[in-house]
Amino acid sequence: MEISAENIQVQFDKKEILKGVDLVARSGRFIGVVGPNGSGKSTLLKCIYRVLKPTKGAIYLDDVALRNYSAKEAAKKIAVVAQHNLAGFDFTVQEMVLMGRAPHKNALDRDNAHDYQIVDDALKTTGMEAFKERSFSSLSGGEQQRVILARALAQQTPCLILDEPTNHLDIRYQLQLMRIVKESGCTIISAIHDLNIAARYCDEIYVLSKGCIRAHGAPHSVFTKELINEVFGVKATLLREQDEIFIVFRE
Amino acid sequence: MKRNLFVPVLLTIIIALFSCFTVFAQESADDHYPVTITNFNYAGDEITLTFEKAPERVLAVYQGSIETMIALGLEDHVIASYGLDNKIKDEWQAGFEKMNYNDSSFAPDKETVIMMNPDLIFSWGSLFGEKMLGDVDYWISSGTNTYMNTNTRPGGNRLMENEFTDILNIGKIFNVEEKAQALVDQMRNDLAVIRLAVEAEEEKPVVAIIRIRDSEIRNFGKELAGDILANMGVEVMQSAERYMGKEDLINENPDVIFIEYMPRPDKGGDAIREEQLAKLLDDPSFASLKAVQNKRVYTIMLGEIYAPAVRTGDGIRTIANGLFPGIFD
Amino acid sequence: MKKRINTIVLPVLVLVLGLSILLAVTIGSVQIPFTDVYKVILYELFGIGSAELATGAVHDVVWLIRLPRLVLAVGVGMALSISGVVMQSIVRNPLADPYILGVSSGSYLGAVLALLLGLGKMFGGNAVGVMAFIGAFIISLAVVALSNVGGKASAVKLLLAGTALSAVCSAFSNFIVYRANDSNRIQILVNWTMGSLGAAKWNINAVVVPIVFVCAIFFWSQFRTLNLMLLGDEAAISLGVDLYTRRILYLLVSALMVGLSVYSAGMIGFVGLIIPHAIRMIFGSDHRTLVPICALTGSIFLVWADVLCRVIIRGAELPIGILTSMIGAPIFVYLMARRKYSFGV
Repeated sequence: MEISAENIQVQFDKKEILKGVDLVARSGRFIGVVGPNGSGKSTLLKCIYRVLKPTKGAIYLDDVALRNYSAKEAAKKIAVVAQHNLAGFDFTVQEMVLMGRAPHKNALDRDNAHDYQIVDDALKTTGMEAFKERSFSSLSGGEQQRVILARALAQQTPCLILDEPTNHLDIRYQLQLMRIVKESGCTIISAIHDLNIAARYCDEIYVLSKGCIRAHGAPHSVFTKELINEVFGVKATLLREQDEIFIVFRE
Repeated sequence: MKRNLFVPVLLTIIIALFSCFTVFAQESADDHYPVTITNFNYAGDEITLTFEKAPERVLAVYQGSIETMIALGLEDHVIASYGLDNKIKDEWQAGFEKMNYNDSSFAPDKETVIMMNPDLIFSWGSLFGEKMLGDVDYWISSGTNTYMNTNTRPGGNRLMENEFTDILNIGKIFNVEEKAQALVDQMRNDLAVIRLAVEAEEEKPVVAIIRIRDSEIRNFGKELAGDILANMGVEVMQSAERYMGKEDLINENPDVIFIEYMPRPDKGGDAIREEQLAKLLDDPSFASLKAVQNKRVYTIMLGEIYAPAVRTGDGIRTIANGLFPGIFD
Repeated sequence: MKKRINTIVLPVLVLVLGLSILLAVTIGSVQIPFTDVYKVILYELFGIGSAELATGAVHDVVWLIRLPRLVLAVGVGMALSISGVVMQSIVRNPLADPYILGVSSGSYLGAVLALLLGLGKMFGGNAVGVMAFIGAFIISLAVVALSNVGGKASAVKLLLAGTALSAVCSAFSNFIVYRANDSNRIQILVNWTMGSLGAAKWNINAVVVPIVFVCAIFFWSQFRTLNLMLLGDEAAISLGVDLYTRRILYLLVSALMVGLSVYSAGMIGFVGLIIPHAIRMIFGSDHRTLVPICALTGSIFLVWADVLCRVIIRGAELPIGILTSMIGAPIFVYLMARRKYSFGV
């Protein structure tokens, strides 16, 4: 399923956060959105997963405007992995992941064996099956993030939005998480902090700076010394090896 | 119940004669003042009041204070009166018109009272708070005497005798002791009559004075109303507390029930009596009560059993007429 | 695990509730033999036995006094504990109770207006209850309206609106109470704030209990959304639920339940806080089990609380709110001491 954002503008009070952003994620592609803090990455993603309403512009899923979907229908198309906060309550890991089935259920439906199977598969994919009965709040930040990923997988959507998903993770799990989502076959849009990880896994990169798209394209063509210096304000050396690219930062 | 009225009536006559005699026996009162009286402050502690002469500028607040002044013929001593719950009885209407009754508020505040410059404040204990009339100690120290109905002081037992003492004390303060004594004697006479009638009964009836509320029953048996009943020699519904459940009343199953009501003119007046009565009689869960089945359910005004002052006698008669219908007609 | 809770715990609780009622109905200040109690109940329910059972003190005590109270205890206990669960979800705070969003001060103001100013005379006998119900419901509507001023209502804005309107209602109530000189009615008001099931009657139960049941089943059916509420707005919307409309709907349905319980039994504290809390600690926060277990436990708790307040003092009745607070407060302190709380919303 293709996700496209057309001329997205977002204003809070008088401040323009996004100044007309266009983005297209073709079916099955892994899109990385990078940019410094405050560049509008999270705002753009929040518009796509409907937490924010753009002041102008629209999001389309295969040519149907997102705003024409009900929240429930949209949740069958797009799953989200983002920050979380349980505020004094607790669920077991299984209960958490089972919530991913919510968009597929009506009020009086019970969760059946099929749903439990999907939950088990998702936990297995993220390597959390041993934690099924554990309390969510007793897990480490990284483990919690993998549970949230399992919940998004259990949602069985064609699209996946990742809002800085690897923040809490050890490097091993960062790579694992990226591999899992890439193998899911979903259309993926992910905000990514680490440029090397973005370069390693993304099919396309959008560089966001001050609310505008500064550059767009395949990682090896987007990332240049000049762009990194201009957008992130750091000096970097780029090592290229066939299609791959490695960025080394300097003082 | 057997109703032999000969002995009680005879006794009434004897007691009445006896009390007349005591009135005449009193000495005349040229050397009446100074008078010292024991009363209470806002905390409920005893205090001693001294009167050099009969107070001339009395502030009377609350039903009992107003009615005591009228019943003793002291309305000319009153500069202002406040706070009626019930209508003044017809016999007191003429006196009431001289009482400077003020219905702008239930009780004046301290400032207003200071401006009145009274020499006696006659009220209920609860009204001597700082936000109402002002504390007793303040008034005494600034030269104004106070008198609170003894049964409204904080703490202490609520006794019928206290009501009599109050009437006699006011009589003493204003040097109208004969009148006060006559009022109290009349009440004692009535009480003696009813007590004899009760004693003539083989089985003492169990009596309850209650009000039925939505979710609870208010029982008056542990306060003044209970003391009046005890003075009559009947059994008071004793084990029950101030607030009881429906089932507790059925468990006690009194022979005679008095439903308390308060006919405030602004809240519906006499219609309230029927309303309160209906709460017992129309509730099917009370149908098995002895008093309901034997039609021994009566009503009594709160003003006759709660710090009633000169209405204590009315309370006694209302109860007596319920216990022995027609005894005081 | 899940399946075990719903197939074992729930039937056990239903059984305990049934047995509790059957046992509780035999306890009271009037001593009545077991068999006589059940004869009356069997006669009234199924017409078994002689018609003599339909009159007399035993019949009146069992059928007109004790049983209506117990049935009301079931309804009110259920209403308060489910409302507690729902309010905790709505404001995302485990320390919320049914009265948190202004319902208590709204209903108190209603009761004050009825008792001290004589408003609501047209509602007849239980004007205080009806006015309290109206107060509870109006303030809930007002909280929803106020929290939508300047942008959509969030959990935090609901809390703020609830606190603000509570203060307004309390101020007006206090003003009226302070100005009143009717100590008799103020005493009635004080007793009302302590709650009582003493006013239970079949005709009141016939309205209150079925509505509470329907609301309870409604909230049970909403278990997924209630779960999502705990995750917050953003997670919920990505899982297909816009909490904004749900919060308002749940708030009003909950206000209906709490309003009815206030109408029929006054203010009963701590049930709606303690029961959801204790059950969460034992069975977790998943509302598919939390809602029904809380409903049944709340009912059982209130049935026994009512028995206690009828028999604890001979010849008198303790207001049930005093009892639930006396039991509830120490339990609450214990739970607080045992567990770390985050107060984040």
